Amino acid sequence: MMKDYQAVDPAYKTLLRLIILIDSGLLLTLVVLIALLIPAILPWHGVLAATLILLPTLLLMTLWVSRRYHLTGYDVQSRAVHFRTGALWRTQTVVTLNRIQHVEVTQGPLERALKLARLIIYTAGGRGSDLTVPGLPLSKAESIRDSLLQRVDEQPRFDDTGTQGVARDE
Amino acid sequence: MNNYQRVSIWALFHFIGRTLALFLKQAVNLIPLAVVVITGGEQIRMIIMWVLAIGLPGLIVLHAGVSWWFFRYCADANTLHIREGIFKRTQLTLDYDRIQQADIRQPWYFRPFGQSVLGVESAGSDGKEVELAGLSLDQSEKLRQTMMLHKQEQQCRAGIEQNDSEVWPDGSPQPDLKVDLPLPEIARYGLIHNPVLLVLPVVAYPIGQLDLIDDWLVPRVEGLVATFTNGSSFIETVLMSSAAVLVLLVLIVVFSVLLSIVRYYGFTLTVHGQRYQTRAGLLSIVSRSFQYARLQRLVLQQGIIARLLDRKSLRIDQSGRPDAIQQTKSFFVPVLDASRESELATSLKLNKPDWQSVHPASMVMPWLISTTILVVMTGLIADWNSLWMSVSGTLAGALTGLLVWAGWRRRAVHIDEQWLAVRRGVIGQQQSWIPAHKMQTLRIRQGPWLRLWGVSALHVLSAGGRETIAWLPVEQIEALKSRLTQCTEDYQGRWM
Repeated sequence: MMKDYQAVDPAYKTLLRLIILIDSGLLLTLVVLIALLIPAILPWHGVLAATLILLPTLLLMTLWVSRRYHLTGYDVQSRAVHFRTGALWRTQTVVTLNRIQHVEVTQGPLERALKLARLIIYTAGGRGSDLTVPGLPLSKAESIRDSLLQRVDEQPRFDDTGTQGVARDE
Repeated sequence: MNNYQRVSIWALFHFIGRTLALFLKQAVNLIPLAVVVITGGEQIRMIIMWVLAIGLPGLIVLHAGVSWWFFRYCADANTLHIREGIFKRTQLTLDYDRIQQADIRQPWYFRPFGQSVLGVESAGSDGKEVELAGLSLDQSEKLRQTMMLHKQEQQCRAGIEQNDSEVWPDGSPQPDLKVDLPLPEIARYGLIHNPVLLVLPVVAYPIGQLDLIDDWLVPRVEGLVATFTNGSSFIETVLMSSAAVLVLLVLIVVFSVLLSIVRYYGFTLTVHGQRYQTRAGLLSIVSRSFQYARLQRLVLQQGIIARLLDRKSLRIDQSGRPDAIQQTKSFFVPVLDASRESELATSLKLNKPDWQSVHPASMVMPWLISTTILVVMTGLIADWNSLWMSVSGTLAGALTGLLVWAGWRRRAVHIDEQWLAVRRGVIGQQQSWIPAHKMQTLRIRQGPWLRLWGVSALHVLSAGGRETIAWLPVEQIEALKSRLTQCTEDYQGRWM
């Protein structure tokens, strides 16, 4: 079945670019400090190292970010939440509503500045089993959270018979 | 108002052990005290020695006694309440509905007094473990039955009918299945699982630090070798050395077999409807039970020796802490021959697997990486001599190729209406079975290398652990994900 993935907010591209810029800036500062403090390092060594950092940064900020944004999407269905992301290494994740333990909306400082939020869905599958949808507008993330929690509450209570064959309502 | 009561006075032994364990855990904080002992002079040293010899044991007994005094429990029809703590008081309330495993242990120090420990583990990602020490065996059994019967009563109230085989066993002497492991089978487990060999490398480091090997062992071995060599032929020396190694190995194996007998003597597995229970132990008897509905993953293991003996081990993981599943707390059947395995598989509703192999290209990267590493290592050792590197490349290529091929042959997947099973191994094998309707998260991953071959990987995260199904065609992985998602969506029964 083809999923109708919804794109995340375009500001997610800005967020990714800012993260890359900060990481590269830190790495560049480290290289400059090493070049200044260690006399054995010649100036051209430093220039080469800086180029090796700046070139991938440029590629990541242009090609990778747009590809990643294009492939990142979510699909909240009546009984499951689907999410896909990645550029070179692609991931598709699904969590069914009857396995949701709790749902969280979080915002880091950069996300707050860009009015974005992350929706995190936790299950009992241990570390790495949570589903994180990044780059959502805060109001959208909150509305998805509320709707998910309401539907989780409406789930039928467990019994031990393991009855199957409940009608699908998609 | 809850009617709290104390556990019996014999529980003091248990509390002393608990305090001792707590003290040993905290003892590292007392290391700075060593400075005072070393630099404080003879008088200070004497005082500290007296404190350690009399004060510390006294303090441990006192702490254990007071802990016992403040430890109270109350078990009503639905809930277990526990109050404990001397300064920091803790109150724990555990609904029987959330209990996923209840064990009764009879440690050797309790057996003469007919006392036992009831260990209860709750479900959930923050699964708690509670121990009630100092209950009579009868009390423990009754309490465990109350906990288990609670579920049946709930089902009756909900109007869920059960057939005879699913009714709780109490009062019914005939189990649906009974598996006994005779002594030779338990001895076989000692051969299969050799903890002594695992302990040796760990013990080797501290022994090495004591210079025992250099100062004591090596001179004696050299002396022994000299004795054999003087007037003996080379063959005699080799034979004697081999005999010494053989004796050592026999001793290790005998010790492992003894350990296995101490742990699993009189192993009995009984199945009553949904309830599985094991009982085993020579000195301390451990009785462990779980409900089928709590099952999250089954692991059938067969190492090299187990394969030679045609035996397997079975571990059942339940929900709770998939990241830190404690082997000692798992429901475990140490050794199964083909007939017992078949009986248990039928009881656990495992279908006959129809294994499907994965894409042969999965062999390429492991073979390439391992061969390259071996060739580079040879190059480093042989100063990049081309002859040595060619020889090493040919041999390493053939050997790793053989191992990778053997691994590929074992690597397979089985999917049916109820189960998802994954098999792996090189000489031995491990099979993991996860109920198809108990998935927590499903994740498909595909990097450029997998994309090149038109395959992808499905990561299955369940409450009992995770499994990866890699190197299957993209369409098949997609279909598998959809099928497992639908199974999980449709299942409205208890899964944890």
